[in-house]
Amino acid sequence: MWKKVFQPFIENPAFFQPLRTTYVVKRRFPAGLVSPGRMPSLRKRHMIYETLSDNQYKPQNINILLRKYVEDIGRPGEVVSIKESKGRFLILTKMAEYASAENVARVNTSVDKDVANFSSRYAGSTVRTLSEFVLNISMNKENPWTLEPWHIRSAFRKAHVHVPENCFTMPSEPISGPDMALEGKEFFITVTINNTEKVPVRCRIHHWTTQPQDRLPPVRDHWKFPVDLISPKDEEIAKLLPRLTPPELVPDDGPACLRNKRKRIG
Amino acid sequence: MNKISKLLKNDNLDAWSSKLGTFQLGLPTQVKIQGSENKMGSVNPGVKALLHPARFKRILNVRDLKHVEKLPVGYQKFYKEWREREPEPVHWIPRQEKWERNAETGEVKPVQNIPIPTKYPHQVHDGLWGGEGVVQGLVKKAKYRSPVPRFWVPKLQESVVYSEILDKYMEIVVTERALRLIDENFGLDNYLLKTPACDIQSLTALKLKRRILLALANKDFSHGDVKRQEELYEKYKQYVVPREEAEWYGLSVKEAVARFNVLEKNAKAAEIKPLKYQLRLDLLQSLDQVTVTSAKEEKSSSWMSKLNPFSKPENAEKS
Repeated sequence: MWKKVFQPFIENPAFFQPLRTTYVVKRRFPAGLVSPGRMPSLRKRHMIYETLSDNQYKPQNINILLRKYVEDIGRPGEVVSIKESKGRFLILTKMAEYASAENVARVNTSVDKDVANFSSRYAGSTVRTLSEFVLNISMNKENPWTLEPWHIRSAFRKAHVHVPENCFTMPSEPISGPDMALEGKEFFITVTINNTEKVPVRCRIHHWTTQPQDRLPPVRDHWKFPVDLISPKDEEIAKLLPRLTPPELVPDDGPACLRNKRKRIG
Repeated sequence: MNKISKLLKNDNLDAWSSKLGTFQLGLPTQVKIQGSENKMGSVNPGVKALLHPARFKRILNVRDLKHVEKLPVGYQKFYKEWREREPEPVHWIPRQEKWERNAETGEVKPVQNIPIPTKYPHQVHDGLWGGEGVVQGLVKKAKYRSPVPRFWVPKLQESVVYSEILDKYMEIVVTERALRLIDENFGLDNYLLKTPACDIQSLTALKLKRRILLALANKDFSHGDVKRQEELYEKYKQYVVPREEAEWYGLSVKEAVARFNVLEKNAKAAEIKPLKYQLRLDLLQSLDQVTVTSAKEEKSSSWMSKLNPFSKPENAEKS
């Protein structure tokens, strides 16, 4: 039954245009019939066209065969369907190939597939992002507190990372305050992704009050600079993570937005 | 002039053609009707009245044809593929059915696909448009308004394409259609080799195809990496053409004429030999004879042997 319904659409090529980026026009007044061996008699009205399809770009997907591990896309030897512009870039840079039958047969035998066996497609980039991450935990400067999982969960949420409480482990020693000795110092928690990948995350405590006059002075780009650890035991974990490389700053340089402008002028 | 044509300029094979540069030819706007052949050639006098004289001249293409007749078969074959073959419809959709029945009267009439003429401006030759061109026509915007002219022009963008055989990345002006055609054919080499010249149109792209064909014909590519070369040759084996055809591929008429003249001149020069070479040969031969004869004479009666007191006389042993 469905075949009958769709038959007229299938037969009419106007409904199935493979290329939507090309102008396709149609005569508004069809030209008359001509006997064989003669030219059609075309009048002005036969030059009047209607636009059937526009040349607006509508992105398509393309199947590519990966040769190397590409973050957020896939592992070597995998055939993935991605946006054509991205696919073309990967093919030009020799990270991937066209997913023709010959290429698939050739690459499947040659490529080492035990590379980047993450639990999911985006797990790799999540690991990388979290290992470069500095989590700022704002705690009260006036009232006494002890650090609890929900503090960390809400701090993550403030940084647009949603982490359930069962996905991370707290530091072994309890941390309590307010204690100005802890201000701006670092400790680590371990986040588990998909119950497989484990990543230590840098956390720093900052004391904050509702009273503007009692607040601590702001430190510019504080997350870019390495700081001391709360407990010296954590040094081994700190070595696992990529190092923070502080930017080269000129004193009295002003805020970042102005600094960039000055650079451009100079 | 974009980068790709500069790149092509560096080729020794195209050195002579680069001096001429690319130029615009007459446009192939021949109209053919399905299932019929034009007895009058490409043009019917009936159309003459409708067209502007300048456009009529372009259709005739007589200026090119009289040159092409004299050129070798290899070029004639390419010219037919490029200019005389009907390109695949890009800007209009041909109807597949043969007959059509009028719903009211039940009258049956044949379906004739009369193509919508496409123009190829000279900018086509700088890029890779994937068979697209410019459609000139009219639009009727409202019922009581007279139709106004409109040009349907393709959207162009700069992009990079990669040729596997030449092992080169090239910056070129393309349309989205061209990029998609390259993707569908699994690479630029496959696209160029599979597609006839009338659907490529662009001289720059045809020159690229010419280089690929020459590389395949000479079996000289991949920078001398024999294993890779064998692999690629096996892949593109079906597209290999003889060298004589590849040499004439992708040339404009002016370039082909220039090439033909150069070859003819060289051939004539090879035939005519200056007399000095023959004279020199004769002289050398005569000198050889003289030396041989004189050497013989010296042996029989050399004055040195007479002067040397220690040399034994010929009849000394006897005595």
